[in-house]
Amino acid sequence: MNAGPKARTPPGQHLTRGWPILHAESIPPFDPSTWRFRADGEVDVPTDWGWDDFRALPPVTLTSDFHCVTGWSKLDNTWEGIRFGEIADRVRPRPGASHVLVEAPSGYTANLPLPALLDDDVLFAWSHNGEPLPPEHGGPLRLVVPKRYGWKSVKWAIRARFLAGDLRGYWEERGYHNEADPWLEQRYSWQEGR
Amino acid sequence: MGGEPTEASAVWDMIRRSDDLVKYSPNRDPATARDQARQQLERAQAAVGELADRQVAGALEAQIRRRLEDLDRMAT
Repeated sequence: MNAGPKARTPPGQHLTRGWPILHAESIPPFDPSTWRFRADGEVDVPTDWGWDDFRALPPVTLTSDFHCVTGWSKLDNTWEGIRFGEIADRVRPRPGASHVLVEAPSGYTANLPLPALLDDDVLFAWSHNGEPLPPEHGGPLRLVVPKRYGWKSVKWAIRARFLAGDLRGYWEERGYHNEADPWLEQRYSWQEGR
Repeated sequence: MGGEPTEASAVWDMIRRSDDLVKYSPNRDPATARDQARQQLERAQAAVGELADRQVAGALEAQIRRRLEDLDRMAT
């Protein structure tokens, strides 16, 4: 049985019933006939998928909580999409692959250690609570990493670049924490190494 | 400078507030939100000059410059 809302709300967060819209860049256009998703870098089988091919991968439906570094949390989100692990199985990361940089068309990026992305609750989602993911929330496809603050859950994801080392993403380069665990309140880079 | 924050944490808080203005800009007029973010950064830039620790001041100044460049890019 799930814990109550209070027990699932990390320190410094408050619950929201709505779903605030946050992003720094403009929403990219989506044309299913030209959309591509690429997984490459430190992998044996670099692969890119068109929209129909991506949607033909084995889907999962997962429910998880979402925590934004600006202070709100939204519980019980049901996402449908493809587990990150499903992508990794297909592209076969090389033994030296340690991190992944996920990219959006604007150049927005977020970095994560590969093991964190292989958690069972991490997916590329095209649906939220039974509806197609709206463009303002990252549709057609966003990464969802429930155990990290929301900026790691890249909206409009089009590429997963596997890396042999760490490379900070957009907000990580701008003073936000590299790990971003909401339960440890890892919000800012000056907290790193503590 | 009377009334201006001189603690690094206060400067970072001004920078963080400018980030929030940009992040929440899709909910309102984005151009107005970006203008307010720029004003916030300019206040932070003025406050950085008051910090005694020049190494910390340099790091914060770099963060401010990067964001001002981001705002220039978003405006085009």
